[in-house]
Amino acid sequence: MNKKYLLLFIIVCIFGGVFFINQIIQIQLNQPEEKYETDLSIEEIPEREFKNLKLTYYGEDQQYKMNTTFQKFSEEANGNINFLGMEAVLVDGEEILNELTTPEGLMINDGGIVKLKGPVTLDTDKYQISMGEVDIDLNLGQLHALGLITVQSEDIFIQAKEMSSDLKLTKIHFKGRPRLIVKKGG
Amino acid sequence: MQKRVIVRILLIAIMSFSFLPIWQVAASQTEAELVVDGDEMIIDTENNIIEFIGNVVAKYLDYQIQGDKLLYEEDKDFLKIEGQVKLNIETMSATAQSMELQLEQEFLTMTGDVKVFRDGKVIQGNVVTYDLKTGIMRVKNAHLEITGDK
Repeated sequence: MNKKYLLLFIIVCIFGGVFFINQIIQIQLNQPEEKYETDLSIEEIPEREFKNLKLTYYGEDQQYKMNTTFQKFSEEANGNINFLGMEAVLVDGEEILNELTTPEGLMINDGGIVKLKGPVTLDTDKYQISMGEVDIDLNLGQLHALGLITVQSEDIFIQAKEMSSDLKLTKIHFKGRPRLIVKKGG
Repeated sequence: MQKRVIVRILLIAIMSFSFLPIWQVAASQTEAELVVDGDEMIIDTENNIIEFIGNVVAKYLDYQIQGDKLLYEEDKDFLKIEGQVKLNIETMSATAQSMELQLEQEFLTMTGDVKVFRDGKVIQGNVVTYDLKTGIMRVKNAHLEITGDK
């Protein structure tokens, strides 16, 4: 009798164990890879260093602007900026358009064109867009992204190599053999 | 006696692991996917319209549709493919100038010089509708041609 209970217990344990192992594997597979360390040592930042600095970039006619906050920030001799933990808001007049975040990267301000190198994430109400690098033209109110570009929403996933759009993202143009995946049902 | 118990436990463990792929397949079957590839894509976020241009290939369930241009309307849940459209399903293939597919209803409308190839027969018409769920096909201005191939 005891052996039967023991056997039943072992069976339940095996099924339960297999189920939980499967769940753990699925969760780990679904987790995005952390490619970038966010806790780089302060010694790696060159001399002209600032912390929690806020900068605003403007286009020529000041219609478009980019309000930027850096956790750590250092300026190179040529004016380029190395940064950690950037958060930015794109603004058209008084209207907030989108939010940009990137854990680390290089920023070049070239006459109203802000070039961001580093994995950049752009959040809108509907989409989360990840880009390898992006040029934000505050003069024309446009952006152009390169690298691995992914767009995710509740039921859509897009992958492409090149993307251009107005800053409002009303029309987004993808190149480089883009792929669209639409999840149906559930 | 102990050996028997160990053998039983091992058998149960093997059976349990054999269920893993079944669980995974069951999980993956809960959602159908529409997959579209093309040379370029434009999203009109205000109207929820996605447009593909150039060498478009769309796959949904068992259907593969090729064409020069594709429009996907998210709100209406339908696809429109234009320009040298080719449809491939397990049981038949078709060509047309344009094709519309209602995804949820699985209802296909082909227009413009439509040719349907099925079981060695070629059905031609101006407009062909095909209910992919029931398999009922309706052809306007139909012309049936039976080829030598079987």
